[in-house]
Amino acid sequence: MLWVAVASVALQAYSSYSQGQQEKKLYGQQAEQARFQGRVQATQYEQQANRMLRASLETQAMARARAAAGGVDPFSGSAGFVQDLSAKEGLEDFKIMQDNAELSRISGATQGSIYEDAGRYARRRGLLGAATAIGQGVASYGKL
Amino acid sequence: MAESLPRYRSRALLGDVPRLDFAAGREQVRLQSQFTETLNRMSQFAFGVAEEEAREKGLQYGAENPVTAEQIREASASGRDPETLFQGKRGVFGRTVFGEAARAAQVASVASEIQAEAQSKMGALIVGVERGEVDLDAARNDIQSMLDGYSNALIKVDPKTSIRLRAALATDANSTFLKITQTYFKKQDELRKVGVDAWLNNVLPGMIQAHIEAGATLDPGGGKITPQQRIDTLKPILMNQLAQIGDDTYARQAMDKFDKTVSRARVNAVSSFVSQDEFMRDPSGALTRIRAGNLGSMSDLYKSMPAEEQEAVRKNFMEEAGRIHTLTERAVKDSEDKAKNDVFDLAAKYWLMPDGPARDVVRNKIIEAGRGVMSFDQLHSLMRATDEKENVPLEIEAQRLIRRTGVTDISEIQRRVPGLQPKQLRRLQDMILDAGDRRLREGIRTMAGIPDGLVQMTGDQQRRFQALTEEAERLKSEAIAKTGAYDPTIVLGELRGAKERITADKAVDDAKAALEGYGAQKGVKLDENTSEKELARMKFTAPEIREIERRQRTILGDR
Repeated sequence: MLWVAVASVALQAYSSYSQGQQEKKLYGQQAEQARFQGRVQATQYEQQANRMLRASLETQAMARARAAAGGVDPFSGSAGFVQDLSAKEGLEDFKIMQDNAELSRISGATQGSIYEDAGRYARRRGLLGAATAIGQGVASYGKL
Repeated sequence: MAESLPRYRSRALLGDVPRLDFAAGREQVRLQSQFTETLNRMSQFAFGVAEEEAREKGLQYGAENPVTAEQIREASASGRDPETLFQGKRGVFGRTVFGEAARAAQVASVASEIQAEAQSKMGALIVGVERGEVDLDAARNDIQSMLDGYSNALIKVDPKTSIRLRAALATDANSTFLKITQTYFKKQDELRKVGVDAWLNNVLPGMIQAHIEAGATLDPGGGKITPQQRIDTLKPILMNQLAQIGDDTYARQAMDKFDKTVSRARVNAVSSFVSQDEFMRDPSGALTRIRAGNLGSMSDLYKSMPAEEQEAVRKNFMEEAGRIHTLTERAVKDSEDKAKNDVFDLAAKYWLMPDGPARDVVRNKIIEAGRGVMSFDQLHSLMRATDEKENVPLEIEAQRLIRRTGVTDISEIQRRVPGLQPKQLRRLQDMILDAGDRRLREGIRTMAGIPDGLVQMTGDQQRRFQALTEEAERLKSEAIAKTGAYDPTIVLGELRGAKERITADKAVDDAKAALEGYGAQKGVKLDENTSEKELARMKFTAPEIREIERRQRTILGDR
């Protein structure tokens, strides 16, 4: 029966080690995914920032054209004020979306890093489990 | 105007705070937890090993430093707490694994010692009961005291062990008390059996004898009470005793013994009665009287006896008569032999004397001594030579030799007494044959189981004697045909070898003849397979059926 005990201890150790490796691999894939999601979200925010800046410029152009057509100085007075306001708010929206894109990029990188750490810990846990199994086997053998 | 101009309105919102999954923290916690668990397991293992070692050492210490039952008793007697004798609670090592193990060893050791001591005492009680030194109540009290005393000794030290010990002792005590009870009652039964045996062997025969001798008596109402009726009243006394013993086998044996004792006593009483001079003076007439049951005061008893007992009485009578007859006959024969020897001695002297008055005196003495024991012709032949060539003194000498030494070989006689003539040798041969025939007849009687000097043989004896005689005659004729003489010792030896076959064959033949005889009486055909029912149908009486069955058994047994 001794060989059965030795074989089961070896199998238990290998299983624990292998489980750690698998978990590390899984966490590595999750890290990649997290980083990729961060980058995609940042790009989406940047696209939105550009659309908002374009919308602001288009609004100013329409205001100038309408003032000129109405015989009003398009660069002063209320027409000028309306254009300045649109330019200011459009620029603010652009900045906000740029910040959002940066935040998404940073959080994706952070999550990826966390997952990589978790993978390392999982691998260590697998190694510890394997070592414990071997240690217990040796101790049990010593008691025989 | 200003209100109609298009204006850009702000739409941007700050993005959500990203929700991070702190998997690394979770994994770190799991790793730490597993690490802690591993360390815990390691320490438990190490402590387990250390605890085991400590326990072993403690047990060893307890075994090397045992507490004895005697120490506990002394401590209790001196008012000390027995607990102080043990390790553990109040011992040097306290409630450590070592201390507890040492205490367990000490408690187990003393419990074992107490149990062994109690078992030894219980064994002694059993022996005491077997020897009759201890009675049942004393044994019961001793066992109860032992049970209480021994289990209480440990109750303050270790109640659990005390309870276990009490249970174990109670089991021992139960089996011991059961054994003691069985031994006690067995002994009582044995004593009763001894009493019954003594009564059957020593008292009963005397009582029966007394009842028989007293004869019939009258009861207060004037009715007649026979000896057998009084004997029958003894049976319930015996049965009462046997019921108390309760041993069926022994009861059957005892009842059988009672019946046999009664039967033997009846036979002895009647046999003793018929051995008186009144009967022995005329044995043949007495036998006729016995057969007819005409025995005076014993007539009723004799007639009430079964056929086997009546036959035993007759046999005893015939043996006694034969014994008396033998004694008388032997005395007569000895006297005759002596007289004959004297005659031969005088004849030898006579023939050596010269003629004259002295020789005449011897001659007269020969005639006087020989009267009644020898015929006139024999006496005359001793004193007168029939042939001038014969030397009479030599023949007389040879006859003396034969009579005194028993020699049967004629050539031996010729060698020891030279000068005998052929006629003399023939006469001597005849004399030897006569003597041989007597010895042979006596030997056959002994072989046939006939008591010495028995006058009247039973049917079986007669048949055996006849069969053996026929065979002996055949053997004797063969021997004479070969050598001209025979040695009765050799014939008897050969006869002894063939005895069983001869008597068995003869018995079977006789049995078959008897069956034919019975059948002829009733005009039916009988054989060994005729059943009892058939015999009853043939109108045979019960005694006849018994006799026929006895004959059938003889035939079947032989097959």
